[in-house]
Amino acid sequence: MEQRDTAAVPAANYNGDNRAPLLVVDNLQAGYGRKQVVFDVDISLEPGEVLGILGHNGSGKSTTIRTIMGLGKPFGGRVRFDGRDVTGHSSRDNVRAGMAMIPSERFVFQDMSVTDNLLLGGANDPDQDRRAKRQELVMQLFPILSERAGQLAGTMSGGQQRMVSLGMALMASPKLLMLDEPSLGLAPAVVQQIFATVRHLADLDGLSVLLLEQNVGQALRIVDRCLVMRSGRVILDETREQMLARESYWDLF
Amino acid sequence: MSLWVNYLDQILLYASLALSLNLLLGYAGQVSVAHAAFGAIGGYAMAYTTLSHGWNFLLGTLLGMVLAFVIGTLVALPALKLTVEYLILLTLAVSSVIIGLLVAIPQFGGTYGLINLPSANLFGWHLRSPYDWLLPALLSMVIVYAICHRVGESPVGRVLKGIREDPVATEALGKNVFAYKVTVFGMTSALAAFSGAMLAAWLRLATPGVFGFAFSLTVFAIVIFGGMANLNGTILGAAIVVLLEPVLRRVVRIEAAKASLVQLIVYGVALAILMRVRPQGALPEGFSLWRRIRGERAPKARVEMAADWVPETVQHVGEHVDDQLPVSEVVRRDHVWHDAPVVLETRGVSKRFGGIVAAHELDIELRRGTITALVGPNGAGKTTVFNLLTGAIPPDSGTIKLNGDELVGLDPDRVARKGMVRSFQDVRLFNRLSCLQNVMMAVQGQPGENFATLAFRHGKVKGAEEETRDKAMGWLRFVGMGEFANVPAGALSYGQTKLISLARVLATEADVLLLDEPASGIDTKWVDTMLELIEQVRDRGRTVCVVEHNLHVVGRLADHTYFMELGQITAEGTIAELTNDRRLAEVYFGTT
Repeated sequence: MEQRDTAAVPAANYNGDNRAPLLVVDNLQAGYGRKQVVFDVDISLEPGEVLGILGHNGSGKSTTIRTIMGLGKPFGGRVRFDGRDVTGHSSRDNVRAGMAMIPSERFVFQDMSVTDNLLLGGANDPDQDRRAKRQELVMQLFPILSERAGQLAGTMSGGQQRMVSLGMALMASPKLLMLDEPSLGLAPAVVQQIFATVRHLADLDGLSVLLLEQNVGQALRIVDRCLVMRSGRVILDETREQMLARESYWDLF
Repeated sequence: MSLWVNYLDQILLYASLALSLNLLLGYAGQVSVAHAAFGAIGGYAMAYTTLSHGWNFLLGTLLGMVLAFVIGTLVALPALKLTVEYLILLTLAVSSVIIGLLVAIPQFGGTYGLINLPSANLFGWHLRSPYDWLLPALLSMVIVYAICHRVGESPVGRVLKGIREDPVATEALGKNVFAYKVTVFGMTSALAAFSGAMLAAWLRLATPGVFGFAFSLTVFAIVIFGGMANLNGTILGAAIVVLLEPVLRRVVRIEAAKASLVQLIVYGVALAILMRVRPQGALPEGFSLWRRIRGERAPKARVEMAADWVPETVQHVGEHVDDQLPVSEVVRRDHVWHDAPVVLETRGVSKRFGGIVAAHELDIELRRGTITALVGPNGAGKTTVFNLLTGAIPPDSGTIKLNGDELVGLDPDRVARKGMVRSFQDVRLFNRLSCLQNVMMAVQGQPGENFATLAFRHGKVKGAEEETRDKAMGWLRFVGMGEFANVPAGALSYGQTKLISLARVLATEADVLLLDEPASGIDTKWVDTMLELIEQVRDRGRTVCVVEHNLHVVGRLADHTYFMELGQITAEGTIAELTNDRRLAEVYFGTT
């Protein structure tokens, strides 16, 4: 297998217009407790761009987006979002500013109905029409959620709870959506549908997406660009085309 | 000087009561605020029999212990099915009832209680001064310590910790969770009565105030200050709590009337600060001063590597685990589904939850040495099938036969002991236990998990524990996680927890393994490791059923696949047959 000096690979030219990037992560250092697990991470994300972050378990992907989201304080570096420096801001402020994140664990309000969960997801959006439209979109994406609208979310199956939590994030009409392994525990057809919807929202609404995924093949269908992380560092930054041109991804992990 | 000896007595007696609470609270995770009330049962039994009937105080103590054991067990029967919030409320109610009854019975002196007890007579030795009490108080604490230590740091203690971490997972590994809870509740109630009786004999009175709610909270504070599930910590905690008042009074020189008030404030503030900065208490679980002195590091090493780690090369069966699986039953791969004998068979299994049909007339066969996959849309009822098979949910109708034995009506622990175990979609490891202990818990037939054997057959328990450790270590190495034996499961990454969960299922040596999404959330490289492991297990003649959405996984593993929709099996066959079905492709598989 060809050995590449990954550091020398130039950042891909995203063929978007010249709008300012929505998210700029500059030299991010992060971790949990006192232990640093993310080193020198740079990310630049345009509006409407879908950026895949690949890497094996424990490579620092989740810690990176948790830190961007404000769920952990960065040890160093800056995060700019939508033209403002949001380094160290709380997740509450970041959600108001237009971020949404879906953790890889199951996350729903167990003792609330499906509808209430979704409404809570959209509670920060003052635009009622948009909320109604989003709810329609979510119901279309996951028809089971409209059939079970009144059921307590905690009594649904594991996969259905994942659907509820995805629905909650979409209800917020975010500018930036961070998905941590959205395919986890979901039927293949549902995964395809979710990915298609994400791409659709990016193209039509200019939604920017950070997509963390183990399923490289699936992810490559919808991303514009990919980062590969290993041991807390970005070791590769390539466009979708460059990634697809590779014969094998295994040497990257 | 005699005053400080008095405080020392008090520390020892408070500690002995708190030790038994720590076994219940710290090890088994059962929050009971009735502990002081069970102490009162011992105290009053001893006081009443010595005062009115002239019994020796030891005899009265014994009576109190028996009473407390009986009452404790009776309370535990209904209480322990409750969740924590309700258990606290119920034990609070029980505590009020016990104290209320003691006050209400005129023979017990009403609100004044029983006072002016004769000095305790220990085989002719009258314990009058604090000095006299030093040795008996120490002795009673040592007895309680020895019992709690024997139970807590043993296979039984491991099961108790398992119950604390995750009762569902503990039961799924074949432990009778309810029996353990009731036994430990009854036992610690009896120990509380013992300590309560000693306390009353030392004070020479038994009053409602002595064993009141404030005392209950003090004992709680001792356990929390000292450290949950650390018995040495409890002794330290008792010293801190008891000495706070005299230190304030004599060293800081706050006047007596104010000292008790300041003491309360200091308690409150200290407890709040402690919860914030050191929630695990002064001496955390697993901390041993003795090991520290001998220069051994606490087993926390290697957590660093937990975050970023690729599994060791998979060991092939035969290298290390030869003695664990019967070689004779190796099934060759060209032997397929059709020829393999049926191990598990369900007929007409149905279950409804209100209006929702969770399972309808399920006929499923699992065959020896083969892998069966259960696929279908989210919410089709695949996990429900596992719940039905393992007895976690009783079916409304139908039969489930494992090697010809009916399983319907058996609890999950019985099903596990019959040879069918499951893993969980949400993994459910015991987070505060090490990886090794997680796997050791799964080893079946451990003599040390029986209270009676534990009490009387030290040698047998010790030998078996070595064996259990070796077996568990073997399975950890089998999944490539041997390096992580001493790492707490909570420190692992998601993929690693999946491997430990597989090792845990394998260590039960059950015939039938039900694996719920064994490969989801693990990265591509690890998936192959996981699949290889499952194939090796199959090749050894075990029967495997997987629920999985990853078609790569199903395609590689499954000899036979059931397709489920809305609680029914709507198709079965090889995965190739199913994926070629146009309707199924639309509802589930998607376009590939």
